[in-house]
Amino acid sequence: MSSSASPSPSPADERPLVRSTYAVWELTLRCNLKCIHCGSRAGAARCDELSTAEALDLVHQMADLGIREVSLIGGEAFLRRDWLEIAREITRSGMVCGMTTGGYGLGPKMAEQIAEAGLEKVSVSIDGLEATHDFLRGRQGSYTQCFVALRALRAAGIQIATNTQINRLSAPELPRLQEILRDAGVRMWQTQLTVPMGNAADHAEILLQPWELLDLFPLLSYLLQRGIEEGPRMMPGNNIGFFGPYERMMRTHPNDAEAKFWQGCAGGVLTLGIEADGAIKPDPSLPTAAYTGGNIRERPLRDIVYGAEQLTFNDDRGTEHLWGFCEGCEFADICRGGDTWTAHVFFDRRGNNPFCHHRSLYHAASGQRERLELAVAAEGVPFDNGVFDIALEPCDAPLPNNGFSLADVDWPEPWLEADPELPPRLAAERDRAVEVWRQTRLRRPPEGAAATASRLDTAG
Amino acid sequence: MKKNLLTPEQVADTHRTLDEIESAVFGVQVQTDVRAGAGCPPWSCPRPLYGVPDTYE
Repeated sequence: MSSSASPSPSPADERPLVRSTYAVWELTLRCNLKCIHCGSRAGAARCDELSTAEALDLVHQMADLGIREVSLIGGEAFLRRDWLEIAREITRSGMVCGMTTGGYGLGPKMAEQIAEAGLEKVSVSIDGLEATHDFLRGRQGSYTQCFVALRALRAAGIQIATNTQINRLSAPELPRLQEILRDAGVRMWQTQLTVPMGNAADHAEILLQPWELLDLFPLLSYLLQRGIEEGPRMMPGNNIGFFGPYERMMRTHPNDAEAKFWQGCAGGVLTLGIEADGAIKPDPSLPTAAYTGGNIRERPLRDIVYGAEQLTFNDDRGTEHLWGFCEGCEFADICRGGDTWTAHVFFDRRGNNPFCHHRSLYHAASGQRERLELAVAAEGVPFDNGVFDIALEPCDAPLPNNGFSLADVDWPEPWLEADPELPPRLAAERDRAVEVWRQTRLRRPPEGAAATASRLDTAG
Repeated sequence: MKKNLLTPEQVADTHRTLDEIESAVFGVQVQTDVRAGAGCPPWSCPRPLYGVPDTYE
């Protein structure tokens, strides 16, 4: 997609915000796994991926732009033959370089090469216990290989972390996974909700429904607190929130000077996404078609980052893009619709985020829940999305599948021996939150909810 | 309401609202892992999909 952008910034066009300091770079779409939730539908390389010379030039453009940290991803980044040369140039240019990997095929020799190239940290994606992970990742033995990779990386002196997708299959296994990650020496654990992009759009059955957040958040909160003491420390990703009772607990990072809460999408403001063919997006997860601001083969990176509307829409973003529940939400001015990626891949439009803890609590307090159902299938290309309908219905309406609840959690035995009241306590915390919302938050009616229902009725 | 017009008062109001919510649900202030005064590098704040989490050490 070409940009309707303005030209490079002039001195008079200085922006008040620090721009795009964290880049996530898909080096290749080639992958040795076949994940059923892969947002980029990775497998074969893109037909027109950047050459080595183009990639190295992009490294220099990123350094000139002020990028501070680059995460290499794929597909599987290390399947690109020149990836270590690119990684070395990133570190030589003064930027922190990390990698997120599926870990399949990453052994001691490669770990040494990674360390030699100057990568400081590598995150291995692990999406549940063995059976769940291997199913989601589409390859038997991939779970075992993750731990081969973690051991090799740790032995090579590289900081190891893990990324985990949360969905109906992995959610009940998170406590046992946390113990396994701790024992593997993982210190940091980033989690994010699986949303319907790419292959995941074809597998809506694994996605959580909004009401399942009511049970998920007390669990995540417990794991986060436990991880602070025992490790690994959970870092909820950008699409986990918003403005429920755990908001500040989840949004505040170690070493923050004060407690934080979500203050709007940072896509293009602090983050940058790069596809293997040189397409530039505000964030790696955003759909290609709607959010590509240009290609570095056609324009300098600086021009795209500062000039393309797709990269700068968050600079002066207010609340005008909000619709549905988010439009009338009491937190609208601060939140601005939560995570752009999540909202867009559900509704093909940003500004109405159904994966919101406050929203789920609000509806539960009203005796209702929202249910998402695929209405238009995704096209079948990388970083695409379908369109979902959303229905507001009574909490007790019959369902074919109730999905995830706290009752499904597979707790490690030592945890329950030490604290038998843990499961009922978290359930009581969930119920208490709903009651608090009933008593306090329902005074602030979401005016947009009626508008959404009307629009969807019309569309349907 | 534009992003760069966010006021300190808005932020303070939101903190107060979250204070009320946390107190009502938990009865106490929640643990946030803050180590006062250290500060966090600005680029480490977002947690994009595929980002590599930092140990902040």
